Amino acid sequence: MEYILETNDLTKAYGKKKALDKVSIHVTPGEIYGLVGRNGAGKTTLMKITGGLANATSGSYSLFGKDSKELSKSKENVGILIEDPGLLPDVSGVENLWLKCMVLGVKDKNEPKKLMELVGLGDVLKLKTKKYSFGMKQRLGLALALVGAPKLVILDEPINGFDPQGIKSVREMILKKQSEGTTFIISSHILGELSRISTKYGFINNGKMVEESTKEEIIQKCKSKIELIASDVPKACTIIENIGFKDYKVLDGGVINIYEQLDRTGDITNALAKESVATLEISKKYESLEDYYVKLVGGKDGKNE
Amino acid sequence: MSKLLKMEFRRLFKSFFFYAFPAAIIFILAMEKLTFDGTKMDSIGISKVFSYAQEMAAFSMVAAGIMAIYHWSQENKKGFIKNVAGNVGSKHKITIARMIIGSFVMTVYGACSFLFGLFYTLINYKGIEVIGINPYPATAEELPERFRSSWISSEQWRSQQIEYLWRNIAEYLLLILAGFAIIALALMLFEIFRSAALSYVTVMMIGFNILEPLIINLVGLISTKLEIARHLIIYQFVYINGDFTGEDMAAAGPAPLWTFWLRTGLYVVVFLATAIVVSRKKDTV
Repeated sequence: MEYILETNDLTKAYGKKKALDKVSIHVTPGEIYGLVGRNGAGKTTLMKITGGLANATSGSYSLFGKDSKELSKSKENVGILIEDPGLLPDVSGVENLWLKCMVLGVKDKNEPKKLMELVGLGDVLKLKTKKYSFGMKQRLGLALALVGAPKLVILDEPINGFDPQGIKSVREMILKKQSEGTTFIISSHILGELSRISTKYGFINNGKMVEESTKEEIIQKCKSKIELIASDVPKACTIIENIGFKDYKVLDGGVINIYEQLDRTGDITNALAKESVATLEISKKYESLEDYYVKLVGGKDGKNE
Repeated sequence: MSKLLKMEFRRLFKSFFFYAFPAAIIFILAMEKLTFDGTKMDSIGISKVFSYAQEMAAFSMVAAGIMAIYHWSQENKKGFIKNVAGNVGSKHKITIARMIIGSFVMTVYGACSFLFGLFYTLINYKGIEVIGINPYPATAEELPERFRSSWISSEQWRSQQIEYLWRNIAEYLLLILAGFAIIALALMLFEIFRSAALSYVTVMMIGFNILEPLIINLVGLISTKLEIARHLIIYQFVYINGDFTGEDMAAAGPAPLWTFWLRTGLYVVVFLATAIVVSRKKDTV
């Protein structure tokens, strides 16, 4: 399969500490690849290396099918927004964009204006960026990543600092660009938002790639459940066991989670009613990306024990 | 590379400080030179012009160094480098572009200092002083006439100036090359430490003639036989101008000018090469 970005055992060490440990990711054209991991997991380091801002200690990567020897030309097709946006404060947003246009050889003088409008900064074309709010800077950072219509865009926490409308407009912009053929690698702590747009996920923890799955695979893997709240929990447990449920768990607070035979909610309520146990609440729940991630990487310190 | 350079030059020309630094330096020099001068020249020539230009060049070196470091550090400090470093292919192109920008600033500021030296010499020669501060009793009507006739028809000018002209030009260009070496040194330190502070301090210590005497003294503490002065970037001009009267120098005779060119050129190459190697090895951010 032709990958737009492929890494092989990419490792980055700072002294004895490994920020990345043999990470391999595979991004196909047109994907929105969601990079999921806690703070310090290695997401930004991975993005910096693949974006050409840092060197790997060992391992290799290829962009657009070109390996290290032919990599330099491919780098023009990568847009990147890492951490906070890097802006020159004493010039306007348009000038910041035009300077990047010059580096990429973009001749269209209207390109900065078009990008400013795309990210919702069309009304502050001449304003110096030192007068921008945090959200405006983030928008301009996004615009900078999109200069020259790159085929691959790497965005590190792109919706940081956005209000709900801003998040929505960024999501729409990403989906629009994706429909035009742009591939994205996005990291975000807002997993709910990431799950709305990503087509593939890479779960990274303590510098290691824990799992790489497509959205479809994740949906299948995300454990669905029946959540039951009954008036008499011990009796309810006996009843559901009697009607053939074995995989269930009683949580603190008396909520019973049942992980099998999810289409039998009717049987459960009927059986409980027969034994005079009131069903206070019963619903089918699907595990969120966040739940799946926490389960995958473990507890507080991210170590799955 | 050319695209990166175009961007860097645009950024440079849009920078307020690119114009403010030489303007401030010239203003300070003008205040110092034109308002008080203890000597009045009774002959004039290219040597004097170059001599003053060299004097000014020390200031222009410091100004050019500070401007160049400021220009580089803005990219890193504000993070703009993140937007372009990933797209330029090899990271060392950024270092080369920085060296070119720094050398350009050095050349422009050097030219400014030369023009100021020329301007100052002519002004001084013609006997024009800022009114009210002229320490000389001569009247304004007498001085210009007397000196002007000397400037135009002097035998000394005709016979000696051409002879000295090429050496003066070579020395002045060597001074500019020394400026490039200082820029390369500042760049090397900037790439190694990713901080502008040490580069600023180094440039100022060289420009204000603090660092090199310090090195000479430190080396002198280790051994009196080590002759290091003529190998240092700026201090070698003491030898070129014949101001050095040490026994070793007197015995050896003045070194040919080309050896100073070679030495300074080597400094540029070594510092720049080190900066390039470091920039390739280190992460951009």
